[in-house]
Amino acid sequence: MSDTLLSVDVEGLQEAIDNASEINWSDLTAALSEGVTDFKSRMTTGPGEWHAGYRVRKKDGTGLSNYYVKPDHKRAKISARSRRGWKIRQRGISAVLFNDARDNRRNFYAQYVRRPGEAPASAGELGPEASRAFEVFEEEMGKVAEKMIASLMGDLGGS
Amino acid sequence: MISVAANALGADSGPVDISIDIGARLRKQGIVTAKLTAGARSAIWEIVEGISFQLGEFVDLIWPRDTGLSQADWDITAEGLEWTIRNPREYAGFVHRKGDTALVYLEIAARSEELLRGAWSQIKSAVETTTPSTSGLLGRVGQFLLPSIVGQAESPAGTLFQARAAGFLRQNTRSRERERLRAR
Repeated sequence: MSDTLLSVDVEGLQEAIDNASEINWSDLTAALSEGVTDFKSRMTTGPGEWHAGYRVRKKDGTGLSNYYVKPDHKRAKISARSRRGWKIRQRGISAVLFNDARDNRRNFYAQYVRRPGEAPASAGELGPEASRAFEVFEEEMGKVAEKMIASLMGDLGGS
Repeated sequence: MISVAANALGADSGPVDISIDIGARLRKQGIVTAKLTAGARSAIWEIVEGISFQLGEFVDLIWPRDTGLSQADWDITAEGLEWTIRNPREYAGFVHRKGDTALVYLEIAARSEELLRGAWSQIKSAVETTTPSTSGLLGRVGQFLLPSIVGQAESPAGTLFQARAAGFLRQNTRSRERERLRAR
């Protein structure tokens, strides 16, 4: 798996935590859970969904070909392997989102996913699809931070 | 073990968890998993990761897509001696092809068993070749000698060992002389 680790600066959240007289952890956990779930849903169904390539069925029926084809290929079947690669692991108010999609040589490749016609990223750089996913992630984490701040300030009616 | 939670869609629906406890299967065959070396565990993990990839490819092939949400939710990975195969989507157990009542996750369960059966000899071999079969010095000597026995094709460690061994081999004077004459 790539060791690319991206983080989001959620402005105001630390200040709200510092000033909170009471912290409702379940509200914060729920907000984060909703945010990461929404991120994954957006990767799947949009807006801003993760690119899904097309492959053809292998003759032995064990899977799809190792190569990609154009969507209008007569035997094209949507693959979506790297969409399936998105995973969420959450514990309390910590969450990790990662994409563990691997190719037939067992190399992790999600970082380099690109749509047809887009320039490939150089080694170690974030590819175009991953950059877009990060924007979606930032947006969703911004919403999470708003909900967390509201909870910390007592605006959600939490105990 | 196949576990499908019941929900409003009926008894045979809900999230799917068809994870396989490899450790339990090894124990059933009399293997004490607590005594597995780190090398054996790592070798098993590699094998299970390999079949996880194959199962994932199978899922991409057969899982019906409408929105694609439930396909994206398949989590297939090796975690220690556990082969995690699950789908937390609340209707994953209910997914079937249009006009067909057969539940697709059952095909995935069957395929996972098939893949595991195919890899079982590798798993057993990983257990046997990386776990000392006898205690004490003899067991340690056996482990030390192992790379030269398994050969180049099966083990990178074997390749390394052989390469090093070759560096220490010296031909006697008569052999060197014979080769020199042949070369002329």
